[in-house]
Amino acid sequence: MAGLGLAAVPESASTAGEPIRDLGKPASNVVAYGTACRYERCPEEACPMARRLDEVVVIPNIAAGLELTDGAPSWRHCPAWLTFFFQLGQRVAAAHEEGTKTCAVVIPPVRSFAALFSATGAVVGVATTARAIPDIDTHFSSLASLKPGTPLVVKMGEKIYAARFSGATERSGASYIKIEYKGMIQFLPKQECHRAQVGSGGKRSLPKSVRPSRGGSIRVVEALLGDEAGEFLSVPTVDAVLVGHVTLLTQELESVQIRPEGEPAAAAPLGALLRPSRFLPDGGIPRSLLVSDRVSEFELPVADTPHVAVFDGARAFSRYRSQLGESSWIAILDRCSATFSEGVDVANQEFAVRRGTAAYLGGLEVPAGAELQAFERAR
Amino acid sequence: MKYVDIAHADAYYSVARSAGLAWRAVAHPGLEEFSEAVLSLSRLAKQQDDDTGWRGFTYPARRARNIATTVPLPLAHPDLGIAPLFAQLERSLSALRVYGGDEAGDLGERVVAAGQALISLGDAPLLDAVLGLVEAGEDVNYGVLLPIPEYVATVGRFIGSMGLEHPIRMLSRHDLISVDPLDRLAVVGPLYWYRDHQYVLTSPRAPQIIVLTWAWYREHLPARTALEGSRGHAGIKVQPLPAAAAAPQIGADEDRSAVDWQSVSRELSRSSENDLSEPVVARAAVLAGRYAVLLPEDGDRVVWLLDPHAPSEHRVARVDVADLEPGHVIVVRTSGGGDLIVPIADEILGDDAAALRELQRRWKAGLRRWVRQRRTISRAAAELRRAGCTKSSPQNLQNWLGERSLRTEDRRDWQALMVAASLEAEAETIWKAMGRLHSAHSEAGMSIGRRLRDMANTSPLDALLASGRQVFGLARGGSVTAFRIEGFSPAPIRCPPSRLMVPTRVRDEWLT
Repeated sequence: MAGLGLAAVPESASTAGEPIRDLGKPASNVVAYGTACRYERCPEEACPMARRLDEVVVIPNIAAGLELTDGAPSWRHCPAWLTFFFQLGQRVAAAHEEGTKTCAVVIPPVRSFAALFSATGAVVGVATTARAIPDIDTHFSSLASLKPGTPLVVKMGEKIYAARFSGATERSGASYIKIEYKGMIQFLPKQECHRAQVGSGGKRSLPKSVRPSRGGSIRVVEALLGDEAGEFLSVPTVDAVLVGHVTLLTQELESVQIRPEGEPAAAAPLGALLRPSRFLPDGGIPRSLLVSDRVSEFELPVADTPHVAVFDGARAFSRYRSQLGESSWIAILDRCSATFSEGVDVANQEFAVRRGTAAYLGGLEVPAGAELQAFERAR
Repeated sequence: MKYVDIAHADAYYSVARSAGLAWRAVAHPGLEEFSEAVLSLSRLAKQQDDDTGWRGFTYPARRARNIATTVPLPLAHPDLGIAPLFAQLERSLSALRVYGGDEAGDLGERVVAAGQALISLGDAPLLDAVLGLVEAGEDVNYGVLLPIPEYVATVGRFIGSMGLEHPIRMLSRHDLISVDPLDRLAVVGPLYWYRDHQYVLTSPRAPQIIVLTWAWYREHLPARTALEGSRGHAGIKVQPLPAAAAAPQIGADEDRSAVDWQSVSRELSRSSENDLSEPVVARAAVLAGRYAVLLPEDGDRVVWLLDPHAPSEHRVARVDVADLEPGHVIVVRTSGGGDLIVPIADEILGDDAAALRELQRRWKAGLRRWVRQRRTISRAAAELRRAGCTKSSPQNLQNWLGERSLRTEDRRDWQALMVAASLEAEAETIWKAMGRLHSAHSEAGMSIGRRLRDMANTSPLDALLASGRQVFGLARGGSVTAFRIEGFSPAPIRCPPSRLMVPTRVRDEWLT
């Protein structure tokens, strides 16, 4: 079998590629992507990743500093296999932020928690690598194309408001987004439109301020994400979509508590990091969506393009990947499922038309008993 | 899919780090002779343009072979069920000779003779092999995977009665998915039984896996990877296959018997003289307990799914049939077709249900007789319209003849139908009776989810988990049945609507 991988780049070596952005996270377990491709069918001169040798992004290994429990009386370090899925999500999201659409397909010995941690890693990956201010033109166009009445969340200074989109307009040669709030129309200039994001929750469920307290979930998020936590907890987005068996995923999501290593007093549900819109407590700002893979229930209630779509199972992957074509993909294929071979066929078909290898995932150590196929998507 | 906590998942990853697969060839001259005779006859049958006439012999012969080679019980044990199959084969010999000629007849006699000799020997070669994988005094958490799930409980009881020092756990492929990790797992082969369930080897649940395979089979090594250009592999180190025996080798492609979907579908879709409706598109599914059912491919294709592993509030849900997979459990009526509204409505109606249903049956039977006399639905619909039934159309008439329709919306249309059904004198009585049924159906429709959830949450699901099938009695005497789906037909068929969702016991020999 061909080796896709690149070895993890040691801390000192990461400077060889001159990091373009240091996210200020602890430098332990630093890995790099964007170095030369060693996949035998992808000659270096033709590999798009090889052309970006100078682009190296530092991805903090947050999972390594995570302790968790899923109902067991004692806390434990995040096991290696869950760390793998978390990092996979982080790296795929980071690569997407840099303009690379990835497809990563994993066949683990058991499907449990794999998709959930991949999606959580993706959400964290976006939060720790995404540019703070999106491209204004793109974001304005995205907002302007919304249906009137679409729920928005608008950040004004330290406060967040629930509002509704009311249209786009021009005044004296300047473009504005019209926002309806408390029965009044407000005009948000185009250059400030990043303060408005698609999202719902309603006024009653929104916090009065970005940081209402330092207790509970917020403390955990701040400890894990550092400076990114404020933005993470205040701006609603859909960075990751998790498609699968909602009941099972919910059961997994609700069972896991996390805390930063060395902070025994702090604990939060895993949902504090994944932040799926429909399962957040009051005041929660969403960063992801959990969507059913059932024919009669599938609904993608978002106009924006998520960075990463995580498919829990072959059925979700084969049915809905095309509807999330602009996102990067992570698919977890369960060997025990009757649709497993269908998922393998789909993965191999996508691999056959790949654009290149995903060298930035090369440093990930695949857990025992698992198989990883990763490549840069052609479309 | 069952929730697996992190500790259990962790254990599976640990097993995958060190699992190894070894082979144990089992020899038995009598069983080899019988298997070889069955295969020779099957090969000859395959050479025929039409082997329909042979199937009365070849199918039970293959079934007997499949059972004898995969179920670890003494070959003469009554629960094995092969003795009646041999008796059936003996009775079918003359027909085989008529259809297949002397060569087939001679081979058939060889099959019968070898089979009867097996029973008279009283051997238990597979059971001996299973027991031989544990040494005396060895304390090991040992499980045995059987390819035919319906024998798991029977074999478990038998081995449990042997008073072994350490219990042996009998498992089906369904059980294996979320079983607590074992120390040792015997997989009863040949491995072609798991061609569509490779996970029994590639997602190991025991560090020691031993495949019990018959000495006369050519096995293939399981694939460790499935994805092109991938890294990593299934967590199992496979030892080389045992050296080939001197005896003739038989490969899986020759010996594997699949479900005879054509026969199953034909049996399920057989229309009765009462079927006047246009056929609909459906797909056959084999259910646990050797049942099968036709599931709708078009129109209203929602079924009730029971997930025994889900939290109680999600244990029963309505799903599109497109979402069903082998291993899922569906709830259907124990008898009769259609959805579950009828038994639930009868539950609501209590003692009055029988009389009301009889009236429903009478007016539909009368109308059906009248339609049949008109020869076509279109002609009958036109005549009804002329008789004053303003809503009469071929489609509406089909609906009125179906089980779910109770009465017309308009009383005047109803009168015309009753005249046609020769029930004019009872028109008002039946109209009111059907009104009561309608109310009960509406109430049942609103409460069915809750009722099924209550049923699934308050009843022990042991039978369902063990055998894949469980009947749930309703308070007033009716019942519904939960069935695990074992497989789907690759091709859809057309059938009368009345045949949809009717669980039907199908012949053993069509299945495996």
